[in-house]
Amino acid sequence: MPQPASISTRVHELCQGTPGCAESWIRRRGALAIAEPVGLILVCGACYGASIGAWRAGELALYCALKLPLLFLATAAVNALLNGLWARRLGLELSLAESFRAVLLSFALAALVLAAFAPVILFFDRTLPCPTSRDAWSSHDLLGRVHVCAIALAGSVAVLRQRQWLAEHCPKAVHTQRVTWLWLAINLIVGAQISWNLRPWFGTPRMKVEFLREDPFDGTFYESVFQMTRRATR
Amino acid sequence: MSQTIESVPSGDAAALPLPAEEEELPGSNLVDLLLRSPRALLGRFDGPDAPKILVRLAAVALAGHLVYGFVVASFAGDMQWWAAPLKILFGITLSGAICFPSLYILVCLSGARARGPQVAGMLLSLLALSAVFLAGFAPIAWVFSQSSNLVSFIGPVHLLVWFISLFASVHMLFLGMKHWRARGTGWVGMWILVLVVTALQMATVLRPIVGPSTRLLETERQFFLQHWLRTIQSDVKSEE
Repeated sequence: MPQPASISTRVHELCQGTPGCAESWIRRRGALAIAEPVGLILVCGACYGASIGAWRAGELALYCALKLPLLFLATAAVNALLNGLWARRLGLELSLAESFRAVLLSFALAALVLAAFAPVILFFDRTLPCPTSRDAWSSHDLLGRVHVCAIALAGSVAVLRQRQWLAEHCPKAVHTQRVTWLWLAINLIVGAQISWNLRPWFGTPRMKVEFLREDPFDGTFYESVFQMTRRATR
Repeated sequence: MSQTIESVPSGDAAALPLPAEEEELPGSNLVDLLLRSPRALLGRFDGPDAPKILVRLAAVALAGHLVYGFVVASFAGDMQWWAAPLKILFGITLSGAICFPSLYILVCLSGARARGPQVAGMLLSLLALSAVFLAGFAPIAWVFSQSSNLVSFIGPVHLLVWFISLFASVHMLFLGMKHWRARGTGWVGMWILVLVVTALQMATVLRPIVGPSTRLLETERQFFLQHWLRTIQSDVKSEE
């Protein structure tokens, strides 16, 4: 019986988009099927999470290194049932476990792409004007834009690859693209809210560094966007 | 998202076969290979002597930057004779090192059949070729260095020289992508921007590199655009 390829080889093939490589992750059964993508999310998410918090303080870097993988895993877990149901409803031959693994795998790929940019962002964290300087807000805004670009890039890669995996996994299904976009919408809507609950991330210069805000479940991301829009239009 | 180079059939082979006319390498001169037969050089990263070539490329990259570092130092003299070349060497090495993971992942995402040594080869080829160009520009840059007294003039001259050298060398990345059968080059094109921005910030962190100073490093943290603006403003004030 042929030996299964090492995880580094499979991760390499996953990045390359080698046809059929995602099958070994999605179809696989047993504890390792979940443990491997979760491990990738934990390690790579922690690297990028540290780069999010490092500008504000070392303590926040540590907190974000814990919270970013938690955000990915919580989003995947909370949406697992709904993602699986929609896939079935739109005719994809995916079990709930397989759809969960497909979502986890796309999060793992996004975390991997983000982690690759972590050294560059950490360098900027440590060399741009610090949170106590008079130019703190310009650094804050610049780094904020950089994080938005990095996350958009990683998200785009993950979505495009997920579409390819689903098309390979369910070649007869006609709605693979629709399922990909639907999963993206569900993950974005829920992910935005969970990230709101897990604040602070970036560390507003004058606010204190803490793991979670005093009442993390006070308000929603969408209420806050609504309030901001209302204030801006008054 | 990514611009396609050409469609290539998928297969087990790691890379495209070398063109027949490039199988016979024109001597073992690495600089000559970089300039005249870059594809033949890239082909060597698939062979057993890849580590040896990587070391030699690193040496060429460091030597070229060192030569240019002395030209940069000739503007201010004194402590900069040793500080500027060392800072340039340290800066380009660190910039390359921190940008390497993102290059590796973007090369993989483009579908290139390249592993770590091959991606390192692409990066070192880029840096080595740009170092060769920098060394070539050295006499011209020296003339300007000796003729001007303004940091806000000579700084942009050195930047322009670096930009030209870098952009004359980026084809090493694109040839590497083609050699290792990438589906497109858009991601790597974007990475060049990451390298440029990182190197510019590195130069700001390691300042002063061009102007005279009694201190090795400035402690104030600044974004490179902010630093340039302040340098120009202070030169304008001193001229007035």
